[in-house]
Amino acid sequence: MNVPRLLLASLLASAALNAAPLPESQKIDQLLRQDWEKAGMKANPPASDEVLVRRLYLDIAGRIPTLDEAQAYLSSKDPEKRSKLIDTLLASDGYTSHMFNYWADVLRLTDNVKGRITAEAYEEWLKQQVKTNTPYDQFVKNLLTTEGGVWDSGSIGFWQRDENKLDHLAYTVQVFLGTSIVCAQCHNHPFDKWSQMDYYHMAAFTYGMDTKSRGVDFKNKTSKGMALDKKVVQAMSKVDRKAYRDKMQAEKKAEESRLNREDIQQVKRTMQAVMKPLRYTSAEWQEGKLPSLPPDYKYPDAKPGEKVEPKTLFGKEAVIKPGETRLDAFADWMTSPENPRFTTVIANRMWKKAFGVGLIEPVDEMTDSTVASNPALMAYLGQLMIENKYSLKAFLRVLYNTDTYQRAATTHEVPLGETYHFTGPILRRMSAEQIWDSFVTLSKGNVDDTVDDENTRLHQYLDDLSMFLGTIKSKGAEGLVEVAKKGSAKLDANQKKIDEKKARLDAQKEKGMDTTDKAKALAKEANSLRKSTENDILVSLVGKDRAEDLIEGYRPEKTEKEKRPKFDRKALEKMTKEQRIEFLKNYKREGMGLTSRASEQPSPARPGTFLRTFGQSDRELIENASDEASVPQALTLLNGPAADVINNPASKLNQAMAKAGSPAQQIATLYQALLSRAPTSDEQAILDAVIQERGAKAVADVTHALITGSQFLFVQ
Amino acid sequence: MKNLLHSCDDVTRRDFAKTIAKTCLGVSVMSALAPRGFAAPFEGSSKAKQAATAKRVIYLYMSGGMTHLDTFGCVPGADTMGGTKTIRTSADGVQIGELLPHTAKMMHRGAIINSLTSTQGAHAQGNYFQHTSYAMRGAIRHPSMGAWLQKFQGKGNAELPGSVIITNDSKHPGGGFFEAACQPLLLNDPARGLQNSRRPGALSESDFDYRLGLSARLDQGFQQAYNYTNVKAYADVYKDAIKVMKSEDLDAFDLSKESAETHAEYGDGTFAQGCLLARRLVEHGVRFVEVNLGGWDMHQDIAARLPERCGDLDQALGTLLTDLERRGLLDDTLVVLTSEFGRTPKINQNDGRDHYPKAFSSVLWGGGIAGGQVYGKTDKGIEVTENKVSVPDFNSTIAYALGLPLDLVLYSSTKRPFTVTDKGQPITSLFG
Repeated sequence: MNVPRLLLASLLASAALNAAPLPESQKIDQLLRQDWEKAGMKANPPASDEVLVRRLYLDIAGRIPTLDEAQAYLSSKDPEKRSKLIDTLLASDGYTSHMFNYWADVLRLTDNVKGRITAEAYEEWLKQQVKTNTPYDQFVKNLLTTEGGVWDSGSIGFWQRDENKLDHLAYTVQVFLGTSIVCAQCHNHPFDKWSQMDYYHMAAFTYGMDTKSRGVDFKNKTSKGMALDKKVVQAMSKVDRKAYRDKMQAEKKAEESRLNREDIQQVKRTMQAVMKPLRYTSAEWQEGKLPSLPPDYKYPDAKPGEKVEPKTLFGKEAVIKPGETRLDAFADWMTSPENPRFTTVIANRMWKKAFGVGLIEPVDEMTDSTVASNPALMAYLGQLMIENKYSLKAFLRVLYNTDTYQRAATTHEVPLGETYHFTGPILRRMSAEQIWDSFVTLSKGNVDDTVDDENTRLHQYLDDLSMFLGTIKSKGAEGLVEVAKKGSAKLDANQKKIDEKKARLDAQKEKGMDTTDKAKALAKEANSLRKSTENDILVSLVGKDRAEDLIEGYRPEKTEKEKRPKFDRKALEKMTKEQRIEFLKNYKREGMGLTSRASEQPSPARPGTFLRTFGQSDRELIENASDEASVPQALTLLNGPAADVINNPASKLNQAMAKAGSPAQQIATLYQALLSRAPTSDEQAILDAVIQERGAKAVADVTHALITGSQFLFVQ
Repeated sequence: MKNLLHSCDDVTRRDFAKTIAKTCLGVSVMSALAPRGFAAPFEGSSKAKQAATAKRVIYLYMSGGMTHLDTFGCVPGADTMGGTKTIRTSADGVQIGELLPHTAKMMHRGAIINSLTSTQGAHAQGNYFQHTSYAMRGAIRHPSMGAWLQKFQGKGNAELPGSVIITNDSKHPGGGFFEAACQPLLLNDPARGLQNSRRPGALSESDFDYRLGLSARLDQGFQQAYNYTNVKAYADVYKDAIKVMKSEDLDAFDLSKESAETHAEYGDGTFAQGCLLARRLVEHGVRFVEVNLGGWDMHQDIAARLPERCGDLDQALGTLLTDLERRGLLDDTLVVLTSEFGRTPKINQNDGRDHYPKAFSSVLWGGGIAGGQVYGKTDKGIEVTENKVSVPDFNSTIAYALGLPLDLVLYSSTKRPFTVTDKGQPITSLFG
């Protein structure tokens, strides 16, 4: 066999293809080479084109390449094809989908929460940021300083994620500054230098974010609230002082004619249920609000219950510029290139994304004694990030274009306790999302254009909410009194009716009649009367159309019922009876629901589904994904509908196989589709024997064997 | 100078979590079950311990906040009872709500605790607290009782999961920070059996076996080229999966093996089937099974909604208890009935009851409990007047029945110390 010669030729060919690399990439290679020399190592062998095309698609676009995509790359003789593919993939919506999954894990973005509308808007916002490659420092700043309603910006979801703002601060510091301070919320940190007071000093920067309000509070505007500090008044000019005093007098007069407490209470009560759609949709910043030390604070430097002023953990102080809030100052401090950890953390995260392991591990437990495994390289990467103005795409582009990235994956695991010298990337299992997205690709081809489809329903509903809140705000308590009185009266009248009916039922029950069904019917009636009164109030406030929309609520059907792939009935006829029954059973049940990428599914997927079985993060804890093998995973691939993706006549793969012709050619296509390569000579020998032995069953055998084989799941 | 890079003595969060292909269904039994941790006492935890009187637990969770006054926390004659009347039970002097006649026949084996009290009045927080004895925070997921049981005492049947939870709650804490092998199996649908555990109908056994062999052969090059723990794990896991598929104990999940009469006795619906499945699972050696019944969050029209909900509960629960006793299992099976909180003594303007954690009720049957008693009291379901029981106290009573060490500290991957029920103190007087 001409294997050695072919191998040599392909090696030379790939070496020649690495034409004109970026100077920044070269610099990284150089820093690594210096480290290898010191350690007495050298680079891994170069990765073949086949390995590289599969890896690039998975690493950047989060899925395997389609047959056509892989073919196009492999057959191209363009010496620049690697860097061109990298650029193409970085610009694709595959990148958007894949990077979205990354940040959703880090930010614990989940739509399985009460404030569903906000979570969905947050997801959309995040995809937007990823797609437009918002500079990372700006991205973080946007997250931190966002406020208002979800219709203003989905990013308020960042604050809505945790009701407890003390906890939220710990996650913020962990994610963006790579520092773990969560222990210090309740006592001085047991392993690091942070005290409980340090924790509260930091929490003082973010404590004023209120996410509980529905955006409006029914309070009388009292003149008290308008009063200015005495010193300020004294310092005013004579003219200003007179104007101020006049204003205060007018207010006091108006106050007398305002609503009494009872009316306000009635408004609150009536509007409570009506305003339910507005829950979890706002984030309001209160500049004056500071945290207090807990009642069991036990250290001598302060007393329990004392208010704590803001102070940064390290680096410079956060200076509040005129017109800025303390939250703005906090965000500036955190995202500044001068912050000792902000840049290192993101550079290290992106390095880990490309190479599988960080220069600093773990990525979010840095202490003063943390040293990168290659300090010169870490410093350069930080510099690179700043030079590229925190453009993640630009930064990643440099990494993917290094000679080192384009080497074969290291063939052995680095044992715990040893330093990894990055002679190439490490071998990684695909993430749950990559596995799912790869099955989608096999079934439907490249569906990147369905990522982040325009969600008109979402925006319509947000618009309704915005208008609703606006109406309530502009009317205020005074404007709503009439509506409230009417609504209240109606509720009372309805209740009276229901009470009468109930009394009659109770009498019947006393006589021994079985009133269970009638009681249920009455309960239903009571409920619908209540709802209709609330709806009437809503209609009187925002008009019929908007009211109907708000009543309908936001319930996106992310189930794949409408999106199920249609199958060719004729192909169905060709199957045996058992195959048909099996096929239809799986198609009805779920058919794996292989219609869209993981980023378009509920976040996270529900327990027991494919994505969760393969270790998708539950998004309750930061980066909680797992890549470990489990028996349910094996069972899914062995007996679940995973192989149906091939059997389904509508699947792209099935269509390609149908075109392929002989069993040998079909199997060759299978290898290209699943592994982006041809069988090795050893494999070919086995395959030839299988075809001989198994005849018509051979193709199905090999399909099943490859899907349950480990190499499909790993990124070489 | 501490070098946190891959340092072997510093177990980082993710290294800690790395295990080899062993899961709740993994056949390989967890050897090193000796829990990590010092014998150093955890401040405040109970030191009480007994030889286990319960070998297994069936944990019936009423989600949404089960009203106490209309079920087990009745105060006959009080104006807070709503329209609910009480009935006598098989236990002298003990009365429960009229909507639970089947259960009433088994109260001679049960102990009602009417003095539960909590501060967690929201569903998510209350639910989490009841299941774990710790407050819900985003920095960690605590394990629930089934996982602790497996951690301390191992599985009852090596080929089945250590604990099984039959629920629709997608946020159940499950096994929390414990490793994969201690994670419970979560089932949505008890009737469906174990997902993907049977060969597809159209595939013959010989074809199935052939493909397995072929897969291993085609995978060989890759397996030999890469020396990674996880790579090997993905070869080994199939061996474990086959063992599960061929295991006779899988029948435990097959409800069709029960007669039509038995099905009729338990009733229709997910909860009834869940209880039947729970009985089968414990017979096959699963030591902790949770079954969830939802729909208790009756903010409106409670009098109209209770009959159906209580009906579902009563039929399944009554049958389960009778069934366990008939099979001689009730003596060492602890059956638990609980919820996240109770409901307001005052009926609200929508004829319902709202959340009420200040006083509520739970019940324990079998497993060493001295039956026919009521522990703790409220005035009219409003305030606990005698023998306050916190949620950790309640859970530590379950742990005590199982003979678990209440003060043994285990560490999460973030190096935080925990005990099975934090500082809960068991109600030892309940045990006969």
